[in-house]
Amino acid sequence: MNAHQWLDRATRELPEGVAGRVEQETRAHLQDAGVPEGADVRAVLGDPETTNDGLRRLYLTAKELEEVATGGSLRTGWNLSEWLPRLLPVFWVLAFWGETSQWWPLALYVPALILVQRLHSLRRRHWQGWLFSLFVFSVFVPETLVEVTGTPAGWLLASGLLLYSAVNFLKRDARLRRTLLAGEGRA
Amino acid sequence: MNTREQLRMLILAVLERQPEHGYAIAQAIKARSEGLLTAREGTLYPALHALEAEGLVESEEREAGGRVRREYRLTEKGGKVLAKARGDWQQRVRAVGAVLGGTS
Repeated sequence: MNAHQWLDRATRELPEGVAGRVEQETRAHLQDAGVPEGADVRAVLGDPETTNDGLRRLYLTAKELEEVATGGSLRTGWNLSEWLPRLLPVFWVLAFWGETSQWWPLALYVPALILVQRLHSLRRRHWQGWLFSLFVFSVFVPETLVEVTGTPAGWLLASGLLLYSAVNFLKRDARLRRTLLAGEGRA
Repeated sequence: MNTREQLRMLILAVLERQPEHGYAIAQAIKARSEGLLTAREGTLYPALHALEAEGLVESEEREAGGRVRREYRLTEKGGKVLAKARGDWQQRVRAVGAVLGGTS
């Protein structure tokens, strides 16, 4: 397996920025190791699948990055994933006009929404989408689960689901942040 | 400490002496361990990228002798993590040594 074939497999499905950095470092490594052009590189570089697995743990794939950038498979021409999270407070206030006791979720949602506006546009979209889901989940799911299970264990189940979702989201956000930095040549 | 964590500690220890590029890091690990430990590119660069994302090392492209190389250097945060990892490792070695017993 020559360097080109190895790199093809090691950077499979990764975005250009990440693949470019890996290619540059790999070719420099081979040059330093004195491996001739066209020679089998596995003895020096190891298994390309191991590298690909390691890189996928660190970075989003090109497809995942595109999903974040475009709003995913449920995208519409209205770009709802961008606007819906921002319009939610307005809808909520109008829906519960005169019932200020129902406004409490906004006390957490709105400051969080303002904070994420400072992020890179893709990370902002990512965070807005998650905050929106979190809002809807927190308002409707725990009480529904308590009703369905008929016990306060519903709260425990809801907390578990929330924690699971938060951990997965934060891991994905860290991968997105690294991918964006690699794309800018800063990672 | 699993293999991945061990590689991370070795990389930080190499960079503690001076900034290095990837190939030199791999060579230093091999040389200092008298050939017992190797860091192949397949695991080395993902580990370096992860360390950089965590702020434990930083990198910069440098030109030397007409060649462009990305040089990695230990950050202050990386130094603290290395000091802690080294302490934990030595404690573990002492504990295992005490159980196994010595020849002297």
